[in-house]
Amino acid sequence: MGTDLFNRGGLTEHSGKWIAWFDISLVSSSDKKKGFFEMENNIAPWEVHDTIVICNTLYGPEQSANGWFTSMAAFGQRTDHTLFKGRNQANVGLAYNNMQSQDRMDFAFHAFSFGLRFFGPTSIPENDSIEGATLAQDHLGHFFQYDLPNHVAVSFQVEQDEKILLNSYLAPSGYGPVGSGASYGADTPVGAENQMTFVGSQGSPDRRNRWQFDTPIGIPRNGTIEATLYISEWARNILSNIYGPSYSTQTVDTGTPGSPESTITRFPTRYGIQGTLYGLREVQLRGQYHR
Amino acid sequence: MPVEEIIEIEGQPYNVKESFALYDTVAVLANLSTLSRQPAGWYSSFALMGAANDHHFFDIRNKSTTDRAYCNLDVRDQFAFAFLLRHISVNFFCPYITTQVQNTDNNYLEPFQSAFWSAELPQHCGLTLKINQDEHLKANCLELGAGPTPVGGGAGQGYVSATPFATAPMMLGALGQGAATLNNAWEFPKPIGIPRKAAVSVVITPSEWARQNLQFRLGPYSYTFLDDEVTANFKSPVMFGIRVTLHGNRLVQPRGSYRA
Repeated sequence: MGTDLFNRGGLTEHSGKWIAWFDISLVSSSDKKKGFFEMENNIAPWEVHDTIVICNTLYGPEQSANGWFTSMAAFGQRTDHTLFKGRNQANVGLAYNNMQSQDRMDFAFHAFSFGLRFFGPTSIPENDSIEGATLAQDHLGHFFQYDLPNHVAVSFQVEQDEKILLNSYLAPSGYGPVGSGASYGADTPVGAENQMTFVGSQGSPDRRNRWQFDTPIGIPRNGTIEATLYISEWARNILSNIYGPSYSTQTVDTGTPGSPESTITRFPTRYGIQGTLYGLREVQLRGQYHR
Repeated sequence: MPVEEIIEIEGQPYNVKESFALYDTVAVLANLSTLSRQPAGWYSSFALMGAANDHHFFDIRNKSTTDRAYCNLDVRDQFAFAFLLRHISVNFFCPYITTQVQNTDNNYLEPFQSAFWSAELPQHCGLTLKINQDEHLKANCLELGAGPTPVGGGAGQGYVSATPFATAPMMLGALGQGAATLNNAWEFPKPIGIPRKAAVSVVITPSEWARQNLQFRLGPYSYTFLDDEVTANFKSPVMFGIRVTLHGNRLVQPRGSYRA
């Protein structure tokens, strides 16, 4: 099976491999006798990822990123959120997206598995930016990474077909931090309050622990894919009413010997949801670009 | 005709075999009546849940009557497509901020309900899987595995503030039932073929001790978060739930080739 573009080029399957071919006259007039020559796409393991970020400060091009939010309230007011549909690497950076096109596959792709990861800060509680504030958001990171995924569904769509519709915990990412937290019980006011750490993932961060497609899903070059997150009404009621993300704190020693003094500094915390597709990509060889 | 043979029939439209999971959830939450949809078989208190003899899955809700996060069935009491059932898992999920607060002025903190729900209650519940008229599984819920659950750690601070909840001593947990992997599920030795439009039900039956325990409990209570005005704490009811998941392959009729 394959495609034949008016006998001038196309794709054909040979011995289990896809081979691209075309009329050599399109590139050279010196060897027309051959009529065409074969060329192969380079097949390599690859992953495609996209991320929704919630952070009170967005930097550079991030400020114009579609579907990113500066508050939990804004994030919670949307009933659904989309991955692989509105951002690219130039827009938000490689850490969050590795697509060149915002809404089409850059290359033919054989998707083997899908995963979703909810991430957040490891240092809690979070304070607002007001020096001497008496209120803190104590456990938003814990809620976002452990509780919220139970209340979010994710669908994955290729072209017009919905391939999966799952609770988020059923599509674990297979990667993430592990560890534990620690605290101390000092009774001090906010600003130098008890610090807690939280390190966790949804499901064991083992690369095999992902949603595996029964057979690889073939996605054509320029094909469209989309993952949609559906947040339950119960969860939206919470998210749309709470403060954050705010800031993590650190204490800086600004004193001199014999005169102890410290200053609290703050930096924005960052939450997000990252979707990943693992599989094989087919890359056209240099000088042999085709449709 | 065995369901496997439906995949390919010469000269007939074929079904596309895809890995898929079907899930349904029973939940307990205090603000059930305030939701725009109140799914059948959900409860607004532990006491009401404890009063019920058993809890039904896959024959009472669909993704329209419930949010998609809790149920992905198209039809309330039939399978929308042929299905090869390979695994079943049961997840007793809970608020992992394990300290909750009462909706009363004294702000009583309840730290134990999440651990009870996630680590103790499954031991005291039985599960029956029925396909059409046949019982295929009768087991203790803890035996079956929960699939992916939180992994990692959290630690609460021991500080008791004079200001209610401003820096309340919350306990944070990472609770689950068994290893937190998709493989942690009960595997049938041979896939069970379920025809399209079959009636499938899973029934969870708590023991008398478990039902009495639930009836004895107050709650569920609430989370406390700093509100978006940064002026006060916002209380919102937590949700406890039981999610049953059927893992396997669905056999989907191709676009344009629909048939009975």
